[in-house]
Amino acid sequence: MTIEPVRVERLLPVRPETVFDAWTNPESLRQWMSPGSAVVGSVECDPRVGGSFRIVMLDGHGALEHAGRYLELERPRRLVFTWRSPVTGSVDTRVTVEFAGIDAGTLMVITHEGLDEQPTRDAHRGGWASIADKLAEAVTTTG
Amino acid sequence: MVEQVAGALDITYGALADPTRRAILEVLRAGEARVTDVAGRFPMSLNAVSKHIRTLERAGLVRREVRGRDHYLAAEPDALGGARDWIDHYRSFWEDRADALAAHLRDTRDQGSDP
Repeated sequence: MTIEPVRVERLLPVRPETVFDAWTNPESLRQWMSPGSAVVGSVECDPRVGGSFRIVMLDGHGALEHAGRYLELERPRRLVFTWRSPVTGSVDTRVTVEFAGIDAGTLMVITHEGLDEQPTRDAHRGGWASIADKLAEAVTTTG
Repeated sequence: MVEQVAGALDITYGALADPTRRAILEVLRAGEARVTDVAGRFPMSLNAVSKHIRTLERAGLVRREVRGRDHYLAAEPDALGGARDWIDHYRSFWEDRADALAAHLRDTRDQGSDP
């Protein structure tokens, strides 16, 4: 079974350089990288090829560490890094972010691959997918 | 409304982002179980496990039923998934992060940071 990578797009009304920098600046990441119910505890990043980053988010139970390594940095067009989190466990997944300059600003495309390499589980379709789909839909239509 | 819904997505992501909570869901995959039996499988206090279970309940991933003196837990059917789990996690995660980035860029632009 082939599973497509996750792909999220956004049109942002600023220049590609500005968006690219928001992904590699620790103070910016602190502002926008934490899910709403968690707080960013610390951000370390070394934005060069082979450099690593570590973002620790704090929820009611403790620390959730998100970490990886930068594979490609082509300011302002493209950023590629590995990504590990409590969800992925010991598996390295891969995130590519592309920033295309257009008249209105920047088209940002996030592609997250390697998510089909999770440990084997029961095959039945379902999961909280349906909850997330409905909620994501509601967010999009009311946004 | 948007904030409430986004908050609900974050709660579910947070609930599933912990290995103990994922392990609790795996235990419940085989069927319902008593809270004390679930807790007995983990090398931590009943109190600590209970806290994790409350997080799963708040996220709507497990439900509790009291029968007599025992509390039974069952995973909500939507909580048990197959290969799509990570994909759906991260679709929601990146959608939320993109919204947060857009808001951050708007805030910093309004402060005159982007000529």
